[in-house]
Amino acid sequence: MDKQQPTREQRLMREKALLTYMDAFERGDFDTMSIVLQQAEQDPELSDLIWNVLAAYQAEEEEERRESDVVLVRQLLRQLLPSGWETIPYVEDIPPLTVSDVIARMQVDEAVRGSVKQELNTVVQQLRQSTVPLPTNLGLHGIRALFTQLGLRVSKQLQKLFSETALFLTAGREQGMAHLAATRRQREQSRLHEDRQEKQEEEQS
Amino acid sequence: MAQSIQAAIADLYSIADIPQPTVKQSVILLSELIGGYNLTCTEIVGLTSEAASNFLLRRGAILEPITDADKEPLAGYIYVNKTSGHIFVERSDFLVRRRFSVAHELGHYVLHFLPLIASGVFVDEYELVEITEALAPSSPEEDADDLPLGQVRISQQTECLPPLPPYEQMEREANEFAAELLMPVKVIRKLVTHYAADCPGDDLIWRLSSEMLVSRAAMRWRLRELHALPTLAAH
Repeated sequence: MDKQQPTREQRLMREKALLTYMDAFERGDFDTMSIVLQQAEQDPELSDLIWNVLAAYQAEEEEERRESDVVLVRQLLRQLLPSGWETIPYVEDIPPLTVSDVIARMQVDEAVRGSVKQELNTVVQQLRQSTVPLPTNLGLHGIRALFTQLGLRVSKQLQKLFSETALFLTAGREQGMAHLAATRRQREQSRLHEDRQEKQEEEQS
Repeated sequence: MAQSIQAAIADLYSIADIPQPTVKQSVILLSELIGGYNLTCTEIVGLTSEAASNFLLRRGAILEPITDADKEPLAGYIYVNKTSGHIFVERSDFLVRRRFSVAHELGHYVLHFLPLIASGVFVDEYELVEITEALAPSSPEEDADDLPLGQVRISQQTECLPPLPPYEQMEREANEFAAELLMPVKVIRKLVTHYAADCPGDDLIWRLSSEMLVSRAAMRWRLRELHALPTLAAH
């Protein structure tokens, strides 16, 4: 069937109807929603637009529920397994993040789904062992340059997810290092304080 | 110290290596511009600073919840540390509002936060720096004339922070940045000349806001700011 392209006016009319519907949806204005839906019954493209937006809403709500569970698990781990924080490594000893760190995180990331997941699986073999350090510029443009340097052609979507994952990892590493440095500083200060007290006691005795 | 808005936007295009907008290509591609910096942009339904904090915790970007995070509804939010920034916008807002929120937060990032971090004031390499800005939801009225307002917070306790502009000025600058980025004066003037004869009164606002993918409120504000509204009245 020869499907005609919508005219500019038709497109604008549909966008306006969609905006009216979403506005009514947010306000719980069922009368207006009903009017737009009647219009959508005669216009399959408008109907598709409305259903796509509603599906996106539903997907996001499910994502939100998972987020709160993960936060709870993190808090419990910190409370129940404090021994992991007893040994404090030197910040300088922590190696820089590499391409393989980002790939490893992406493999377990629930946000990586569908065709991007499939594409990721194809590049994993080549990048899983990569010790190439992450560049300073982790934005989309920096990541494009990185993939060129690695000699790999990947989709924009994968580049975007790689960029996001690298930025989240880098931010977490920065905060982790700040915590380590602060804890080590605190320990050293209390050790110095104890040493001084011991010396004073020895001198007095 | 904040650089001029025009210069900051010119830098933005230069870093992203994309051409400036024209009358024919008047919709600004924000994701391309953001891609020049260490920035992420995420849409969240029911955006609050607490929801943003939970998202960053879940993605491993922070290890502790953001200080002072709360349940106050927001239109936009940005969390910045020394190496990156993370922009959030309310997903259920209209596209045009989301674009303005992103542009507003991007304005804070390039005008205020990035220069502050680059100034070298945070001398301790491993000192934790957290800067946030929370943008309040806009008026529910599509044609409301007020632009959104936000609130900046710097968690860093260094006493020798350089003097940032007053918060009200930073908010005004972020709004001006967003307006100039999404509705560049050169493009607006040409479009007004092009459409004014066929689109009398509010029709011109409708037409220009559709062409540039911005809200009618933002377009009205911009035309008023550029003194283009008396021209409309004449038509």
